[in-house]
Amino acid sequence: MIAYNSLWLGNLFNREMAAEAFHQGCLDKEEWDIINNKYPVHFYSPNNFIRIGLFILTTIILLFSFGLILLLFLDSIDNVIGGLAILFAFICYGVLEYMVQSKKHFQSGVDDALLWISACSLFGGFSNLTNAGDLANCLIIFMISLYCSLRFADRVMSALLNISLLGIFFFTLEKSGTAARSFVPFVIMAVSAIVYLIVKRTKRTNINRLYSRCLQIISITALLSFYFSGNYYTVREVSNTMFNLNLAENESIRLGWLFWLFTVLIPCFYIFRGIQERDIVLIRVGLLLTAAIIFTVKYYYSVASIELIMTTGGILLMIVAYGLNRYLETPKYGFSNRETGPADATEKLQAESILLAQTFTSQQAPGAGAQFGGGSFGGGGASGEF
Amino acid sequence: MNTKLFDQLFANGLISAISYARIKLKQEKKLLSIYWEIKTILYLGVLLLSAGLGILVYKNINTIGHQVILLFIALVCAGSFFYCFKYKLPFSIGKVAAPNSFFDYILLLACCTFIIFIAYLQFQYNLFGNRYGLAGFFPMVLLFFSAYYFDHLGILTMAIVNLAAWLGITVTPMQILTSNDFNSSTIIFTGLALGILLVLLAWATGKRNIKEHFELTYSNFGTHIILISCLAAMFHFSAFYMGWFLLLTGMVYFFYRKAINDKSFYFILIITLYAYIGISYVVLNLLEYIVRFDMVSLYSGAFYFIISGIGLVLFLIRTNNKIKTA
Repeated sequence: MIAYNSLWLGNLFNREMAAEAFHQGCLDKEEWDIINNKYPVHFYSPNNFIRIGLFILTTIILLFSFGLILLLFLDSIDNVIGGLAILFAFICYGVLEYMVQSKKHFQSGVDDALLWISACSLFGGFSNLTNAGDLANCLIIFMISLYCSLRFADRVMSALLNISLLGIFFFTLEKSGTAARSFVPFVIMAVSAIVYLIVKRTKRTNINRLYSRCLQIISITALLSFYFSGNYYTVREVSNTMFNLNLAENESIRLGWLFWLFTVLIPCFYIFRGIQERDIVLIRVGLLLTAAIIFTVKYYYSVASIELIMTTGGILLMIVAYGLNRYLETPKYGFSNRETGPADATEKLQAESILLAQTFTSQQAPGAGAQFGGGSFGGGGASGEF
Repeated sequence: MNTKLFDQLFANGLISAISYARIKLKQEKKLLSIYWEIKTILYLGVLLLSAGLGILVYKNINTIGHQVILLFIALVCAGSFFYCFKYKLPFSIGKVAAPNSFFDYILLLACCTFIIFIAYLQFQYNLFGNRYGLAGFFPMVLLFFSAYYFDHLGILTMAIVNLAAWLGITVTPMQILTSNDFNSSTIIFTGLALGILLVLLAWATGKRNIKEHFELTYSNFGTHIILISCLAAMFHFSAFYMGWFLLLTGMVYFFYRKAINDKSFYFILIITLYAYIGISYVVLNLLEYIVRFDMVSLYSGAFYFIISGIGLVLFLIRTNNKIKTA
């Protein structure tokens, strides 16, 4: 089913585990080399920066090719654009299969760009030809992203897959009358929970060797959608604008207390379960969502002025970090404050220094803390040079 | 970690019994590192605290007593610097590791509060009078000093940004294109001079072996500023754009040699993109000059982008192999 050589993908998975063991000091260098020789990978996967460059350039080539095709049909463009987009999508797809099968491209930037452009123009073409509404669009995206996730194990596609699935449920309920609409948050929560649990099951099977990154992305999006479908702010504002409730300024929604409960408790639950199960993804998502609690509360109640919250919050966070650091000086309950990755983290340090310069030296507008985007560290075994 | 792989490897005799035992042990007492989580919390803490203090000062400048606020900020600043001086490892011109993961952020807090302190003094008491340059100069000196003395890459980056601001340009990544008016020749020339200065500093850093790991930061900023200034000059002085294009080509060639020498994929990527913008500008200009007929120039422009794109893809693939095998 998967387009890439699955033996090599399995070998890549083994290599990553060996690299992890090596960086944690469990394996000798010779053993690591032996393992790498035993599990050869012959993909063409360039360095990450080159991948970015190849992605940009391939996108430019494809967009101008499409532009060239459009130029040929300039006179009747309104009638043919949908068909042309679909035709172009199939051409791109053909090139993509060729690059993957014959040229062994794997996450090289070229295959990423071809896949995305092909998927986008296929979607655009179908959507344009059928004059699709919200629900139909979600269905088209679902089918395209399902195929692309299965065949190319692309992470963005699998995130889209989950989002479009939720979209299908959302718009179906939205079209089924007022009674159904009030169930929207609960249905979305239930679907997210089911998706998360299914993915968790799948992670233990052999499928994980080929699709580990997709599965991780799907579980992260499921955790996020589970929270945001119960979050007071999203529920109130979405139902207010989408379902025309015309709520007054301070008016609450039905079952408002329940959603407030979800807003506050779900992140705590994530962190708690994360600590219990030693699941770093749960902990990170939980921490990220703690910020969402603060923003939600702040939006409806002015507890204190923003600068006071920031100052005291900052001091509190520093104390928490200091306490955690001290507490974990010797590892407790399976947690440690030491870094376990490769010792030489030049790239991370460089990226961190740029982040510091960006956030600390610009004119600090209120809400500068909103730039929090942490939690996406690591994720790949690829060790590129800077 | 999944031990199935290692079970198999051990059975085949590919890993020694000791390594296998170590892996088993790791698996049983699985340690989960929350190093980056603690770091992120700390970063957010420092960010919120310094931003909060900044706004606090800004908003209450006329209500609560200045001395109180000043005192508070000074206390935070002095306390943080005191901590840094107390716990720092001895100075060396090589790389010095931070004594703990906390240290870097305390230093960051110290520097930020110092900047706020100076800004507040200037705003309220007009400490430096109308010599605004001085108000930017002192924090810059302090930042450079702290960066070298305590060995902190983030502070060095902030120092470079401050140096640029002192000269009148913004170089933070998100604002470099939006905040600067690249239609002014002063900005372009300042940018070029600053970029060359930074590249020279990078060169000297590597040559003299003083904090060698700072080199990358200097050359990163230097390269971007020089190439952006060259491009801006091409667009601005459009009458002599060919001359500026030659300068751009020279610079790109220089950085290309350097990148190949340093085996840096990152620099290959950025110079390729900057060069591509420059070349495309020249080609499109020439096309417009030669063809002058709308549809034909549209077609030839599209063809140009397709062909040049394919050419650059091949170039990047080749360079990638060249660096990898070198």
